[in-house]
Amino acid sequence: MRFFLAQPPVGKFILLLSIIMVATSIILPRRYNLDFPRNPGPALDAKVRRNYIDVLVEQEPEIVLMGDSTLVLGLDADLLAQQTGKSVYSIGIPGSASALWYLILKNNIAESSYKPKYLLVVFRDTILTAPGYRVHGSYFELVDEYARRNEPLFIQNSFVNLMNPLEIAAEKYFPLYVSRTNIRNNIDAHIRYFSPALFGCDRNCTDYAMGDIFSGADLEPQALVNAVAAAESDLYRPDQMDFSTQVDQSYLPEMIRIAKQHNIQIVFVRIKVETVGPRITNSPAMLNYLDSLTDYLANENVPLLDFGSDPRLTHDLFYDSIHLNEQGQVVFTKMVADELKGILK
Amino acid sequence: MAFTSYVFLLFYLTVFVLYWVVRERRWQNVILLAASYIFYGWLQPWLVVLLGVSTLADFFLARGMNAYPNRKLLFIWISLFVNLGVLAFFKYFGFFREGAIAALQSAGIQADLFLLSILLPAGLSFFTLKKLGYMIDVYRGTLKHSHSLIDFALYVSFFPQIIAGPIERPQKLLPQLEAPRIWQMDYFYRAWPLLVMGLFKKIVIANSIKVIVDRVFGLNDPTGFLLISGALGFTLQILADFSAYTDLARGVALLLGFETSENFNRPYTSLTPTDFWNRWHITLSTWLRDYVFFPVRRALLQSRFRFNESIAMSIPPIVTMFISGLWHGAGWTYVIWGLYYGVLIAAYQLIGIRGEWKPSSKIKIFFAWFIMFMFIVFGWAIFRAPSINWVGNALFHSPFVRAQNDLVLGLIALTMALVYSLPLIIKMLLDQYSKESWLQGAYYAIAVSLILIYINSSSSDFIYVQF
Repeated sequence: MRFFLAQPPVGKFILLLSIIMVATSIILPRRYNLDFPRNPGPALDAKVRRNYIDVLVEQEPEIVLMGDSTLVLGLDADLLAQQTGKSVYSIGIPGSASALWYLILKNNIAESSYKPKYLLVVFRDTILTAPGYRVHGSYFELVDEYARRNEPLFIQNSFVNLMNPLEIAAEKYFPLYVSRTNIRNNIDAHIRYFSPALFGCDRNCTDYAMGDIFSGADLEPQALVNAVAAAESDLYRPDQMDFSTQVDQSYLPEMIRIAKQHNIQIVFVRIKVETVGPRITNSPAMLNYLDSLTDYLANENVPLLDFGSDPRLTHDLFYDSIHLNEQGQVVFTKMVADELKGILK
Repeated sequence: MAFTSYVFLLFYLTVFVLYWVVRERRWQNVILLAASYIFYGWLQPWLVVLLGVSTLADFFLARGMNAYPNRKLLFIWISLFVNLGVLAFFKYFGFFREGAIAALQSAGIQADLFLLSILLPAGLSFFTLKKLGYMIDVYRGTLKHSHSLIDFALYVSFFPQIIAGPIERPQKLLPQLEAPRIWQMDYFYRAWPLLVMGLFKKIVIANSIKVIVDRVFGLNDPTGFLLISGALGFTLQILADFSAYTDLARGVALLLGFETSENFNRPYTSLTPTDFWNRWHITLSTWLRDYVFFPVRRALLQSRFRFNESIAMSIPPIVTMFISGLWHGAGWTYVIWGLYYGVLIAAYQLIGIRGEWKPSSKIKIFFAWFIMFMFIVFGWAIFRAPSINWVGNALFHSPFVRAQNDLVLGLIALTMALVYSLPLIIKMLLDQYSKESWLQGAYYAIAVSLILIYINSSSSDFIYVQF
């Protein structure tokens, strides 16, 4: 021990670090009401939004659409209703992905006293089998709104399965690590609100300004393309394009099971995007993924409408690399309506 | 495979154990070589072929220079042509890609997938300079060529350095590769502060400030105030990010028994541009000094044409820094950034201020530092900007502050830059004025605690990996 402490400054460093760890292990569990050892993954609040239950009962739509901003800008619910002769309601949540869709299906649609006949899930490429996509950071707040306190599949698929053994151990036994998001948010809040307050801009004013600035408006065109490409790149990692490995860790089987259990015909609609070039979309890995997805859904008797490489959706119909423009929305809605006619009874 | 990833931790622990268990130098080098190629080819296995073929070419060309001294010139030209050709092809292809595709399409030819998919192999700029330095030194006769293909291949591909340097000179690394290595606790005592500081600077400082910097430099039409605050943020980010990589690379190498070069020596305390480049990315600066600056100056001095002294003094730094800009990337911002420093160095020299210049009074030192720091910040604004027009627009056309939102974003960026620079300033002061190990120990203990708070499994890549 004396030898160790004599090595400048490693011995002192380890001693002081141990003191910090012991102190935080006593203080933080009390501060944040944590029990150890704990189950890995974030704590979910008990509150669950059930707003779609009321809407479904009130409107009784025959078709429900579900997806993210590509659905919001890509499919016109009114036009689809007009084209198919069925009533349509759209649950389009920008920034959502398969985890949120699963939670809405499980905690809203399946629990409603009125069940739609058809559920169209609009997706792109590998998003259906990417359970960790758009659940971390600021997305977590959105997903948590539709989750109950106890969501074992969600925690397992979107968090635990993505952790390495060190992270799992730290999540179980290490208070400083578990409390990091809270501590980090406190530090960030102090930094964020301090200087604007000196100029008379309070918390609300700062939050409004930051929300406005980070909304994406006034973004330099290339920066927007880069930001979208960076955010989407997770979907095109080699491991994400391995369907057979990903599917069992995804929400796809459970979404199909819940839909079948409640006599809802689930239909998956693959929309075209231009975020990655033909190098990725035509790669053997991506083509294999799509073949496997098609076979999987066919085995489950679930229709797949694949517009992912449809030549009718030309470049001029896109607003940006991921969203269709108004004209594109009309074209795409009509394409979906035409294909749906063979499925709708 | 990022240094901050779990995969790298497993990879490194495996290599570390195997390496020190073997104990025999030749086998240690074989293990390191295999590890380096696995590390380099982790995401794109074909990169290993590029690295291997170009290494073989230079190894045999260097041997050729020794075996056929009268053909030395031919061999060095082949090496220069191959190395610079490969670098130019991958690095500057993007510069001409759009034009090439448009030209092909206008001629009725569909651009094929290969043409669309050429990407810069990570680390190419770094290991190309390592190989070129070796080849030029062998050509000049200041270095004996390596007799061992394994040692030479390991010098080129040494995994702690291959992605983003330091650009180690053969005179420093090759003798270490050729010498026996036995584990000493001293390696650990010297490596762990580097590893802690590397992780701290990357995870806590660089990744935190990156969010706001990216937002400012992503704006379509920023104001002058936002440009200044964003540039200050980036000034901190790039130092924290790049010096973190170097610290980690040096720490990882030290644990394997290798002493590698420092890349930074408090660069933002510089008083002159020459001083800055003696302290910033030192291994690149010294490489450019030895293989570009000195030869250009020598050529000018020995030229038949008698150049005006001002021109003779100005051309070498401008050419050198222009090449430095080009080395960083195929974009006008990099080229202008390089030229900006070239002109700055030349201008300082013309008014009699050289690298070692130091004013007599503290007030003058402060002003000299402040002016140079402003030049550095402006340089980073050019470097990080999406285009030169973007900088010009922010400086000359946009108002200084347009709306309250801009003011809020700018203030937050400034506060973040200030808060996150404090740990670096404190460390600098501690290193200078207090070697007292309790204070140093406390600093590292707090740094590790903050790493645990800020750690994120999806941390971003190091900035210099893209070069």
